[in-house]
Amino acid sequence: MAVVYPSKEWLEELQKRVNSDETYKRVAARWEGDFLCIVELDEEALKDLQKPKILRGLISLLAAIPTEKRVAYKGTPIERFAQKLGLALDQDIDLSKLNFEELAKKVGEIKLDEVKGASTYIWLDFWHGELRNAKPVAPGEIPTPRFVLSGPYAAFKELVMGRVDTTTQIVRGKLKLKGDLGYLMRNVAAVTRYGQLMSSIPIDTG
Amino acid sequence: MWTFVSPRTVVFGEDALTFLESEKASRVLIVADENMVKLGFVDMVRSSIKAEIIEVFSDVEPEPSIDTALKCSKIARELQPDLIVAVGGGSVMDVAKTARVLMEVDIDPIAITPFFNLFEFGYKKKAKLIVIPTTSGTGADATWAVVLTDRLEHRKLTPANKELIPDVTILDYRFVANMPRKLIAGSGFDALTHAIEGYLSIWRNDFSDALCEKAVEIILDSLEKSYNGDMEARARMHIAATMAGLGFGNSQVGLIHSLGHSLGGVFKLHHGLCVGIFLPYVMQFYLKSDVKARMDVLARKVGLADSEMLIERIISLMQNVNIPTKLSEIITKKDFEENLEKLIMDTMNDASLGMSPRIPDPEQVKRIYEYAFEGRRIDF
Repeated sequence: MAVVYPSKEWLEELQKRVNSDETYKRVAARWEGDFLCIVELDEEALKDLQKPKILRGLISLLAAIPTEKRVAYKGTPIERFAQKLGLALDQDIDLSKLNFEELAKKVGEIKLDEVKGASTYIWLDFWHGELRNAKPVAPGEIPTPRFVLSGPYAAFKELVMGRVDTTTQIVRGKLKLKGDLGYLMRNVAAVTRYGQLMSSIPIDTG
Repeated sequence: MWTFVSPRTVVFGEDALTFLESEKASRVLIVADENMVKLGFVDMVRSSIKAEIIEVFSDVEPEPSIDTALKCSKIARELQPDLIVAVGGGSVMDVAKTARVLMEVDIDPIAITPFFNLFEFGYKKKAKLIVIPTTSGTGADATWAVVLTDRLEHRKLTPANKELIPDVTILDYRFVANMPRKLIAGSGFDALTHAIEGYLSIWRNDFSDALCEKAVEIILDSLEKSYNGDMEARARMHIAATMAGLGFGNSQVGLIHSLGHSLGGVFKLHHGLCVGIFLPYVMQFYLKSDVKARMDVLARKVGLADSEMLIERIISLMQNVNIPTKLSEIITKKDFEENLEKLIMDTMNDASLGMSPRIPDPEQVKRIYEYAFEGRRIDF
């Protein structure tokens, strides 16, 4: 079944695919390292978020972060984004009570300059052939990830839709990777297989 | 955004070495191997340079280790050269390329990746790098990647960064005039593999295509002639190797190099031979995918009917220049079987694999090795 990116459902599907893949288990048997993916809102995101399904996906990520951790977003552009939708990040977010049709219309009124720098944080914790954690996190919640992959939403979207691979996105300058690059270069099979699994998830484009 | 990266200057011709006479430098480090010293090539270079201090590092071994690159960079740190001249094959050039960076930036050489901005770590490119290839195959004079061997893990690793590329490459035919035939064949097949993989890579582009196509054309026409002593063909092969380097350097290699790196890392075999032996097998593997159409185009560019004919032409060339056509000709069954799992995992972990137009899973890699060992045509 197709899922929206980014969303809690997408993360669940990703974890399911990685953890049930025998090839991944084999090539990543020795892998130890987590990725913090920082997805920055861009024009493409503001366009896609005008689709209720996709907006729901993004909000599902924010809702999945416990309220006491979510307050770390206070004062950041993502809080400004939430405020423009009438959401308070320091309160529980009940997805069933939100009218995403209405909220999506409000996104259409937001200018990128007003929310510049707004980012969501996704933590992927890979360990010995398993994706043992795949969840949205608050800024600063994972202080020392082994790798940080960051860039605009449009660049991540191309990745998850399988149009291009991670290395290509980095070499083209669309994504930035920081961390233990020597380790990564010695273990590219795990990263390559993960990329194949990630891009195999059918994406619902709303 | 994509970039085309190349040395600033490519000097070529019989008297190309005279280019060095116009270089102004106060401290020069010449990087070479013992053979270059014995052949008098280091003296030729030394006598062409005017500088206050000239030091020679000639400890580069074939398929050089990370330790050798570190050792050379230590000497470079002490000397602080403003010019580094590498004279030798790919091993020598790769050590010099790495040492130029490591003399300024204290990092694990394997961490030199395309994702790394060296200037953020204090790199100022203090030394100019001029390379003089003495084989016709590696393309190391024109690329931003290097190949170093991890002696502990018995595997090859491929640091790559645009700042690794030499500033000048000097293609002086005198340096390849007396190459041993085995080296002509091995390095020639390295060049052919570069050109073909560069043409098929997922990062291919119009610039790399033009260079790879021309390189394939020259190599198919000139390698055997060069092997048989034709000096004009030898000179053309020298140009074609750099041309292939410029091509694949801007589109990258793929599965053939991943297999070759693994084989060479485990069994310490010549790189050109390692990649050459897999060339027809991987092309057969590609026949079963949409890569075939691309190979058909290449075949027609060089006057052949289709991919099948191109593969046949390559196998025939291998036989004519005495390149083994199956792994069992160069390694025993016992050694092969004992190391097969490592060969598979090293192939899967090779950085070049990601740019292949068809990426095999570990089971397919195993079968490619087995077919190549037995000399069977790939049928999957």
